[in-house]
Amino acid sequence: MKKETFEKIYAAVEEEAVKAGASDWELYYSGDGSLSAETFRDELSGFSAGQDGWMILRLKIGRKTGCANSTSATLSEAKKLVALAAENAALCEKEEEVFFAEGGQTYKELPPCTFRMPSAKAVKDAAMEMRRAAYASSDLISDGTSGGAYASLGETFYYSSRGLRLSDRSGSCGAYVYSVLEKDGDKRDAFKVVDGAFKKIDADAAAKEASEKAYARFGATVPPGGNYPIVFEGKQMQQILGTFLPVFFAKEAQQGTSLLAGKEGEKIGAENLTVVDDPFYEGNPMQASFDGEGSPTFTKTVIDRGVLKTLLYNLETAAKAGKTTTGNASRGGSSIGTKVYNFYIVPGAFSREELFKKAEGGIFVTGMKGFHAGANTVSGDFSIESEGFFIKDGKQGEAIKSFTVSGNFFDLLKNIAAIGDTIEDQNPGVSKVRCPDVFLESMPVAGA
Amino acid sequence: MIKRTVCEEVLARAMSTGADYAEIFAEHTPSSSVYMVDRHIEDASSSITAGAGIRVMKGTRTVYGSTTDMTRTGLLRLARQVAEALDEGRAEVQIRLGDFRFRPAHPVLRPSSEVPKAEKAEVLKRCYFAAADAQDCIKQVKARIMDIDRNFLIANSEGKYIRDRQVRTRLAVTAVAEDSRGTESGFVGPGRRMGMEMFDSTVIPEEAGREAARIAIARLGASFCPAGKMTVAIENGFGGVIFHEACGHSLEATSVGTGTSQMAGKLGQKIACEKVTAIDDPTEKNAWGSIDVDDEGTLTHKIVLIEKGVLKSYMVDRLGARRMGMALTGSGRRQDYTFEPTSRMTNTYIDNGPDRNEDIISSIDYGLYAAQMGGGSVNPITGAFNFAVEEGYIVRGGRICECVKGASLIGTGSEVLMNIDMVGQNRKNGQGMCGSASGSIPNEVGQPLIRISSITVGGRN
Repeated sequence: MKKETFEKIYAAVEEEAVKAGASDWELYYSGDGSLSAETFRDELSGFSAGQDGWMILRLKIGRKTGCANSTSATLSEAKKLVALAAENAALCEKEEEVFFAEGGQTYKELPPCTFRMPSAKAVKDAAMEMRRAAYASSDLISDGTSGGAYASLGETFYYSSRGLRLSDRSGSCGAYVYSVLEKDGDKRDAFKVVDGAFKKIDADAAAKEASEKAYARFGATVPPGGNYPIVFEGKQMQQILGTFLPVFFAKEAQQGTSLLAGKEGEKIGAENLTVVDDPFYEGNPMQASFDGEGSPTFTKTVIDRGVLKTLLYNLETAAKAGKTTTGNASRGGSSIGTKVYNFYIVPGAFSREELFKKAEGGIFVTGMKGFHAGANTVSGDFSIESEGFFIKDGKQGEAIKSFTVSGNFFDLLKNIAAIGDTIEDQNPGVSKVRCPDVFLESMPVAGA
Repeated sequence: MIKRTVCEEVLARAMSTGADYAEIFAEHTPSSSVYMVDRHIEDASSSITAGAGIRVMKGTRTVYGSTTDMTRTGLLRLARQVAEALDEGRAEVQIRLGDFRFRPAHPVLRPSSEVPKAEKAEVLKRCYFAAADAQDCIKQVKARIMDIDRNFLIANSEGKYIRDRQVRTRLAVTAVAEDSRGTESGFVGPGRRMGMEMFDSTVIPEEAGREAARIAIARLGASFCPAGKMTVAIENGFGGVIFHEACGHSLEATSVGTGTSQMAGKLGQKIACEKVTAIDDPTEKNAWGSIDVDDEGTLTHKIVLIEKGVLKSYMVDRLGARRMGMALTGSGRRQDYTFEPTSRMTNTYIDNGPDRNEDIISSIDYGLYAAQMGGGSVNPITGAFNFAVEEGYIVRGGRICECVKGASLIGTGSEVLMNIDMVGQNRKNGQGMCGSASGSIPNEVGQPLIRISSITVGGRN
């Protein structure tokens, strides 16, 4: 959306909001243009182009606030949103005062967005190149193998009655291969996603990595149950930390659904564990200078050598706790929530080989799924279907599958025995969790 | 929403570069929710999803585009974009659209979008306080009432111009119980393809609240489930998620048509015990996943997927039909206009079988009784699935004994289907949202009590 268009819509909202008796209001717009392409067998099977966005209004009448949102960013829709938001405000029973970000604050100046949306042809060509590389990567390649590419350019506006006039713009693109290998009627698959300009992507290297990963999974057996030393691959630790992310949100703590409530300043993790949330993570094209309610963002240490330094706050939860916002407000369709930017475990001193030596006889976990069903974010308990490899003679050994790794997230934080020295290339994004490999001396595994 | 003449013009433009099929999906969908926590209404919200998607096809090649600009100019611009992206030559096409009507099979008496939010808030409070006041150990409750009023039109180059309205309403309540033994939660989320009349007799808000509290409390005293291979009985209702995950996704044309499903090429083969008959039924009256017409404009019908253990049908969308050379089954679905449709389930269940429920439990010397299932996921390539047991009990000597927590069931679809060796007679469905390539859509899963002779149980002991 053009800035002038947004400003016209905002002016219409302002006029209607005043008529409705609102004392405060804010209009948030987030939209993007996107292109994606994918292949099937030897042809380009699908191509998508989207020009979509959300306009979200929040207003305050008396002590009550209400929200309404729409995909349709037009003048007439903006007026309807005011009426809907006013109806919602009338229903709200929240006692706490609701805050709007003040004007006059300092925001980090981001480098201007230099991303240029690639042409449809460039996206299609990139997908076909990934496909070519995938089919050339193994003699065992089979149906279902595909290549793909994507690009998006997003923009965000935040205007409010407090005089804030904020906007961010960022874009990214990338490509992927999906290798499906077949051997003796058995199939194994693996993905590899590479972000960055299409011309810089080494399609053959990506395809080789995916096919090798898929191949390594053939012949997997179910391991005997028992307690094992465990090395979680960074991507799996990322899934674990991502699943339990809400326990770091002040809102959950205040509602009694995070066991980290009241633990700020206390030791909740191992001495070697430091976790940072960084809106300006180096190399990530999707950076943000303001959060979902217009507050400035900044880099913060959440866990410092095992000690919980802060939960993540927005204006409301910060006021409730007598603190200041950490700039972590998210903007959903209906309300203000909490989000992270680049939330990561600071890498430690150990290479993967060194971690394997520590975990001799243990398991290297390279796949976990079913977190939405197998993890309880309230109690911290999890029991997750996994796959991976035995660790033998300090190296990755035979493939194993269909076992569950069980534990408790809060115990896991305390029991991290060593942390890998690298965060592998993981896709950029506005809200991301990133982790290096992590070693624990013993965890229960259910298998055969 | 969009005039027929405009649709004709847009479809002709979309087909101008050699497409053999074009389709417009346009919607105007208001939705709302009211949310309670800490014994008060925390927020109420309203959303409007309005936009259009255009798909063109040439053989099995597709191009899809979406926009929020539903003006003639905006739609023609999008039609040109998708046509240029397809780029299969040049063609002059004339489209004439005819009305396509059907008799709606899911009557709605009081569409929730037309009911004041204050009335919805009253229903929500009945549910909320029933959970919050169930017992002293209930320390927190979160509850939400949601409704969606999906108005859409589909126009395609086969001359179809079809409109539908799908109204759905749902309650979702999570209760958190806490005592000296720990903290546990319980969730219940009943939904129907109905308006507010759903709460007159079909779904009693207080019962939903009490049930969420009961599950949380039951789990409080539970020890961790032992792990290993064992016999498992899975109760009706949301227990049907086992079939949804273990088999249903593998019967969708999206994975069958690309040859990646473990079920590809198995039509007519015995893939389950003969006690197993499985159905996808979008016609179940007012059920959460029911649809008269799918999101590609195809009228729906009941699909027998497995009959007495033999694979009878897949769920086939338009692209799948082209890939597989099969007829459409009315299974093309999508979350909204931003998604290209793919083959999806509606209300999918294992039908009642020959076994008495009491015989199923008494047949188990040592195993697990899964009274409530959580969600799960599956890899259609390998058929490997997992799902969580929300509320489980150890069975000893044919009797249901102590409650256990932290259990998950893992295996592969083909294996577990063959291992379902007893099928009871109390079929009931549960409601959920299913996420896949075309977004998050309402689904029902269901079954009677069933017995799986052997399956891996993931636990902690």
